[in-house]
Amino acid sequence: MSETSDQLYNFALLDEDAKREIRRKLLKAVAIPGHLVPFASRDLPIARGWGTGGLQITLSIITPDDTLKVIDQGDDESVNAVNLRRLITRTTGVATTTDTAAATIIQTRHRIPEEPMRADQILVLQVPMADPLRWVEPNLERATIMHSEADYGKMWVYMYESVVRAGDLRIASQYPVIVNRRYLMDTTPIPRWDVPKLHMADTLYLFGAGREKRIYAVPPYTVVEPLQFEDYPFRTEYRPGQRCARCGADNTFLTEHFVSDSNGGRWETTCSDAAYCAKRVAQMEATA
Amino acid sequence: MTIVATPPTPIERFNGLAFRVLLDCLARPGKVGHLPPPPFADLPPLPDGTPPNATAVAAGMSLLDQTVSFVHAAGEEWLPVDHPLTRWIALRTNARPVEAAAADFALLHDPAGTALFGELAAGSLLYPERSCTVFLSVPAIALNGETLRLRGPGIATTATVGLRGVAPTELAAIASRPSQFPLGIDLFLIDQQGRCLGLPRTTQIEVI
Ligand SMILES: [Zn+2]
Repeated sequence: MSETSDQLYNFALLDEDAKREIRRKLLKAVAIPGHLVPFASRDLPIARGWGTGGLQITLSIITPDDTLKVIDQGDDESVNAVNLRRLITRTTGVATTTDTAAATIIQTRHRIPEEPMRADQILVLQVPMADPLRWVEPNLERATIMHSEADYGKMWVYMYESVVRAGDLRIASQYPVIVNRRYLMDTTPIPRWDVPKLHMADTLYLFGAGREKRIYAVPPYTVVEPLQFEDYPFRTEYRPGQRCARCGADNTFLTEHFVSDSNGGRWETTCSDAAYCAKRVAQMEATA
Repeated sequence: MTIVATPPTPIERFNGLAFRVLLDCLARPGKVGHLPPPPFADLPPLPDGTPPNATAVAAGMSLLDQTVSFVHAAGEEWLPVDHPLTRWIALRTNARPVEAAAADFALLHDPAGTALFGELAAGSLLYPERSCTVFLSVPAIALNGETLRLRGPGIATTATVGLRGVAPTELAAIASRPSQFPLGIDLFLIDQQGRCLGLPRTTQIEVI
């Protein structure tokens, strides 16, 4: 998209037929929580696997009045987030923000923001692999039949064997859940820390897998239960005493990153949700 | 930042804004949404000479195109393919008018259409999404009424909603609509003021 091009794109890039198809599928996804709804994923001017599923959802739901936030691994400033945000704003003119509380639509990869999202907000998650049954059934058609029969015995066995053998679940992120006591659903590579945020939430979660051409949803106030066992209950990554080195938060999902200094550098553990961390630091500085 | 897109046309704008209301209402049964004013007014009348609910028709049409099919009814009668309103909708959307059992969408122009719910597709276990989405026109949805009590996904505990001008048998048909989760039909009730109520197949409905 060159600045000097005379060509004008459709509002929100996608043609109206593409948006309409995704809108129809989103309504089905909301009406059948956790069920994978096939859709005709379109080619976009970014590579598949870089969030085209989430992007197509955002482009299909966005209106000129929206305020958009885009994050990648919790970071608004990562290259991927910046590129997606630029593509959306240049084809819609919508306002953008890094503040979770100020956004009406948040598109994300691999995180749910730390600040609780409200009923007037929508979280769009980019999904690389949609079907959790791929761990036990690589054939998509057979997996679809298993979903139709709620035939999840193999998955329970797989999960149990992996906890018994490894002492912990092999599936560390994208932890499988049962939605509305019916469908097994992949949570995408969000950390286990974020999984409880899906349960009985105020906000609507929409999931888009561009490569696998699937859309699914978790409506607000929907029961979302992680697969777990009495002797091996679901646990998040939380460790007692953990603390963000920058803002001091003791109740966030942390990531380690390397910081260069005069001694060559060191590892620092800070909030993965960068905007939330910065907001806390700014608040502390304002009151100091 | 340079904007490289055309602004939406009035119909595209309606479709975009209406979709957000539909999505919000379906995700939050019991919440009363407000659809924007319809982008047209010249609809052919129903067989009894009355105009259809233009907002309900426009909301339904916002999801129609050449890849989907529709059916519509006045009273308890499906309207034929050659009815002026059928042709009017088909011409503007390219959607195919079909028989009820095959329809992706059903526009029921008044509450008597609830008697036809049983003829609509409820999907299959393999493809529960291959089901009919219904736009049902009702005289009035009340903000704080107590006609139906709702439970299920999208509702924190329970919700109540008021409906005026819907007969007891019609309310009973709404409450007992085809819904054997994950199968079922999904409903949008839309009143004369453009108020909208979503009732997905997941909602347990009780007539108060
Ligand atoms: Zn922090």
